[in-house]
Amino acid sequence: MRRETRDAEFTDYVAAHRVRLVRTARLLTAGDHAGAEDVVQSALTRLYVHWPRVRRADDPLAYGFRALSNAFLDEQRRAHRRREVVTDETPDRPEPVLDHETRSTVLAALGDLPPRQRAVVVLRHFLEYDVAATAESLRCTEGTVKSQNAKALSTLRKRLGEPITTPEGSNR
Amino acid sequence: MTGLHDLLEQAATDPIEVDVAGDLRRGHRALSRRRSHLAVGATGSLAILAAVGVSAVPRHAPEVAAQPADGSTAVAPFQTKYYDVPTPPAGWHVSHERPQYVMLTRDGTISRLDDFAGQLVVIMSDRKENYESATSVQFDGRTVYVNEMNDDATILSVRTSPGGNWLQVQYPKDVFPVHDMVAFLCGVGVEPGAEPAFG
Repeated sequence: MRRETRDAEFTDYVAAHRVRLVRTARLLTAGDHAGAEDVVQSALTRLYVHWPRVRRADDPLAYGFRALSNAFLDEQRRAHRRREVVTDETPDRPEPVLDHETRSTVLAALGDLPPRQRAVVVLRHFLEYDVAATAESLRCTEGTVKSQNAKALSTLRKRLGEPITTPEGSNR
Repeated sequence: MTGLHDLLEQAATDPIEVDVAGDLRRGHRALSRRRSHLAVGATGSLAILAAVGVSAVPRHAPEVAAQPADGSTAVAPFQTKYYDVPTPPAGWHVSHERPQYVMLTRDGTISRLDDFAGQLVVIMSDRKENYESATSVQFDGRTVYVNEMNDDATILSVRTSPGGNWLQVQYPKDVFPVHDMVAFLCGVGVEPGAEPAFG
């Protein structure tokens, strides 16, 4: 396809969806703004390279969220390897622009979840994907999504210290 | 009682700046890198076949010279495992291979694994991808789609079998005639262990 066409369509896509992608990435990274921006940039770069596929996708935004999830999990795997080096330094945490206690509590609770459980929570309860769509996005089985989601919700309920509700059926 | 969705919405809200130009710049650079990584040297394959004593000529090999004109064939033959590559174009050789692709490089130039810029690359893509909304040509009973033809590269796609995975060839613009690359792509065989790349 012509570069002008690719650029124009990609620009429209970014203008329309980047904010939503960044918010999703901030949850995936448990409030690490710099990490979230890295993940979004990585995902958008992939989308540009494979733009002919994106534009043909049934749901280009869902394609974007899938790229985002993959970029996040890839980064987590790399980060896990980097953690082989022990340091006394505390990892940087973002300065909340709006110092909201609820936000800090929720992000800290998300941070306690393993990356894949966190991804399941974000897709199921923030993006409101169903089990099948979540499984497809994360390239795992629906059974894995259900079990990861159940474990994550159990942890979140303990961590948040108050009852949290989910739509009927989404606790699986 | 608090809805988890609402909690997550609250946690995710912060001012966000959108730098579309930055995203576009990164996309341009990545696409350029990818394309330079896709040039696959076909000349080496012929050397490989000769080295291992394979006498069979690939079914649809383009009619190209087997050796560089200057006779500089000191490059060690590259033994492919996942792809059976036809006779490479004159002056090119197989340089790298992964289960997802095989790369050919111009003789006398340096290439790096996973860097497709300026290279000739045959890459496998999942059968679910849709490359069929493009101009097509027929070759030996197969339909080959011309998916991209711009300033950077040309990309052609063909299914390995009806409903099967895709094989795509990417090569620098104006280096090869399209009909030669159509024949070359259709001559690529897929061996056990090859697998589709994730886009």
